[in-house]
Amino acid sequence: MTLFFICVPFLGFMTRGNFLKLQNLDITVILSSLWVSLLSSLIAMVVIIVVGIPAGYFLAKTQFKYKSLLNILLNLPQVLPPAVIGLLLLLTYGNNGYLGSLIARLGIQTTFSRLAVILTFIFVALPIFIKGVSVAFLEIDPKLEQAALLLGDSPMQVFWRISCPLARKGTVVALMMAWSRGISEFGATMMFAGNLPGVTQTLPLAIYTALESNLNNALFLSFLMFLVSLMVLVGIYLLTEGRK
Amino acid sequence: MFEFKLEKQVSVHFSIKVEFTAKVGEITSLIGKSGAGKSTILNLIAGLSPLDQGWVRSTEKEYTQLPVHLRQFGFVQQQSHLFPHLSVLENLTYKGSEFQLAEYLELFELKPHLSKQVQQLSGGEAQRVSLVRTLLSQPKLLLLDEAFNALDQKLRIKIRAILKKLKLPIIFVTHDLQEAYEISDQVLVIDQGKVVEKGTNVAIFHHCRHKLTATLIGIENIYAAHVNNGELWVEQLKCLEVIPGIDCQWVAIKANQISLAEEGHMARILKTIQRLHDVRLELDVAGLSRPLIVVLSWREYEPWKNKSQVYFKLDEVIYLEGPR
Repeated sequence: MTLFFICVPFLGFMTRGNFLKLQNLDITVILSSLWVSLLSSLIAMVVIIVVGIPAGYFLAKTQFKYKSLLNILLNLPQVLPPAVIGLLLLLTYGNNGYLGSLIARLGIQTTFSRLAVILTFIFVALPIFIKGVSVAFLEIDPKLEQAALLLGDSPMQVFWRISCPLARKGTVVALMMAWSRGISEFGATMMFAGNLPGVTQTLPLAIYTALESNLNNALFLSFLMFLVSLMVLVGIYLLTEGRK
Repeated sequence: MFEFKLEKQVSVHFSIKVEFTAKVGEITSLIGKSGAGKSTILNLIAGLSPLDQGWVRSTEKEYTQLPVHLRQFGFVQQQSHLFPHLSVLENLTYKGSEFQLAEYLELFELKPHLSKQVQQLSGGEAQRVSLVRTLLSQPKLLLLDEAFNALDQKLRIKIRAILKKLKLPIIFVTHDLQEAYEISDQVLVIDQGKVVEKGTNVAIFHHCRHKLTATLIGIENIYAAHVNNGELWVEQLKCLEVIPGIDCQWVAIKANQISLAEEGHMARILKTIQRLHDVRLELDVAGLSRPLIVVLSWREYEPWKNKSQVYFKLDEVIYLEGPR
């Protein structure tokens, strides 16, 4: 019964045998949405890595008063409905938002721009990355870091020579999970960034649009995302379970 | 020479308060029951836990405020804590120079394991790698916390000999009394975070002064005692042989320092355990609340083996202090 509920929807790909007929595809839409998704996710992931690794390390290694509260807050983007996320981002970064108005003064348009796609990606994916990184650092035996200190390594050397290499596998898994969450974001992106082909139309948005105009495109893009998701999951499996 | 004065309130009911010195080339052993505070003392010296008061210093340098990584104290613990992402060779040369590496590899029989991953090592091999890794980092002081537990007897003897040759002050926590006796120049008996007795290995193991030390080194016959009109009373038993020069609260009688004789104190044999090298008797003695344990060689036991009642003499009595 479980298998029925989970696996049967995947048969949907097979019911339409013509989804790989390339002559029916609107290649411009496919390439532009792919470009928007990949470029935005790449920029967002760079920000996520730069901000997320120190934050995850801090969360794992430091005890402070409101740590539990922070952990709950980090889970919020995962449970909030996309519409609420979209609304919150609009109220924050929109032209009349408390940050958006400041950014607008610099001549930067946030809403319905590529920046909005990136900000949405970061908002939904960063907490997942931070949590994953934090778990990766927590799983390191603190006695190993202590042993390096005793051998004469400074705390910074311990971080680079011991903590980072030992947390690498967990960090890569967190990166994959964060990326898959961000790349599949739909509702919040639609509300905050809009659905402008070539500018803010990501893969999920292109699928949604294609449903009404070119079902072949929708199927092809869906299959593409399905393959990518599958690869991410296989990657995570190989990094965690597969090597045990 | 290193000087330690360590004071730390660890919890509401437990504090450390010890003071001792460690000379270069000398091995100081800390012995005591589990939870006595021995490992905490090493952590305080290493700087892993801050002191409330006191100091860690040598004749050349003050270490009290120095962070762990600047102290250059080697610390080998029961768990080897090898870095799992590095090979054995990378672990060994992690901080140390390759100077002396070949010599240590030979001494510690590690050559065949160099190219292995640390996960492939046995407990004993990992512990040896950990010790060599620490020695190669050229420590100024060596702290060993049950560091040889996973090693077999032959290697333990070999490593003890190597440690004796090192020109380092070594502080050594062990539960192995034989090891503590053989290796130590100085022994500190620790209880509840305090030093209850301090002395050379001979003083502690052969002429201890404290009841806790006697218990710790495995003396089974410990009885309350008092002196009355120059006569020693062990509980309610008037001691015939020994006239003590000092007053005492307790006496310890080593099980192998009691001989069976044709006359003396009368006792009934309660239990006889015949062991590989000797025979252990439990004697019921009038005036003693607990059985007196006697250990005899097989030759000493031979004349008495069919007797149920015997006489005994105390060859040596150790006078002890300690709370009643």
